[in-house]
Amino acid sequence: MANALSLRAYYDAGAGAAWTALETGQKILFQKAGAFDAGATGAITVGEYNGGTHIVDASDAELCDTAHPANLAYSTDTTHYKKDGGVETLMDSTHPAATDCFNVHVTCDPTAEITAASVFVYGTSEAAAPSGVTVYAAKQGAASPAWTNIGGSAAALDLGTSASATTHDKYFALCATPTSNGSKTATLKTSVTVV
Amino acid sequence: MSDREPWVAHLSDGTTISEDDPALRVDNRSPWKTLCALCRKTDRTVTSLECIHGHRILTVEAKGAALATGLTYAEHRRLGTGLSVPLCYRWIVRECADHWQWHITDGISVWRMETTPGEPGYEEPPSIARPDVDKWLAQQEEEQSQEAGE
Repeated sequence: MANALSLRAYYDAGAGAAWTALETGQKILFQKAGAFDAGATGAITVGEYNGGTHIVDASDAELCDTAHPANLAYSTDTTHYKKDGGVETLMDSTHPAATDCFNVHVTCDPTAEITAASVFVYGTSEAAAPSGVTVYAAKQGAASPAWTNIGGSAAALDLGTSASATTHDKYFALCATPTSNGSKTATLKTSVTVV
Repeated sequence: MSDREPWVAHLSDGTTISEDDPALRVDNRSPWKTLCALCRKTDRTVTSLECIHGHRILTVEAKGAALATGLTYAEHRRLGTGLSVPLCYRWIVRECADHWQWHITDGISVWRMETTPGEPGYEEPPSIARPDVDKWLAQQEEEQSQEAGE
């Protein structure tokens, strides 16, 4: 008799690609395009977007060393994205694919409906956008998804509701662009309400 | 993330029913939604609700208004360190005609909020009741840093 919420990424750590929960201490690492590099040489240039997405442990060791999560990045406007630096693609109900996104996975016992779900990033308070970095997210599976700046609670991306079920999955694409030099800090908040 | 205690509803005919009652575990539906449908069908109302969550008990009387209850789960994940804080709130809302009264607990603190009808009241605990996520995360980060230095 328990409910649970987990944030998951789709990647291969050596046993085949699978949805894997991010345990506490495991990080989403955005870097510039190229080989895995958690150091300064992997840093994204100001004004550009992530060219690689990795899952790393607390020591910055790569966990997705067989296959990384898909790297989705803002493209020419809020309605387009590029996957792994490929062609510009218009977002629609099937693009990007769920497995290219991050997943909020909820298990419910007893069965429950989701009446609200959202995601945003914040800086010094939940109301404040993070400093020096702009983070965009898009709801996967929507009829007309679009990148939204999710800085601060007022800008939370609505992940929608769900009918009664024992498990629920909400998917969102995530990308970031630094607006100044230096390491950045932000907190990602995901929340789900069940009835 | 968090274990759940069943809610208990007292109905207008004097009966009591729990979230775990087999009568509410039908057709893969939410027990609360099933109770609402059952009450409509039998012309009963929920007169009060009790929920145990962590170290706290919420008890709310309907006083003629509709009641509803649910759980809100949240995860705060520091992107720089990956450290995360899972939170779980139990809430009961009294849906008065001109305002909604929210009774909320995180299992440690209990607080109340009023919103306009339909507006969620469970997302933003007032600062006095909000768990100090930043303090907890900072403490974890310091411990992580010390471990890395050893």
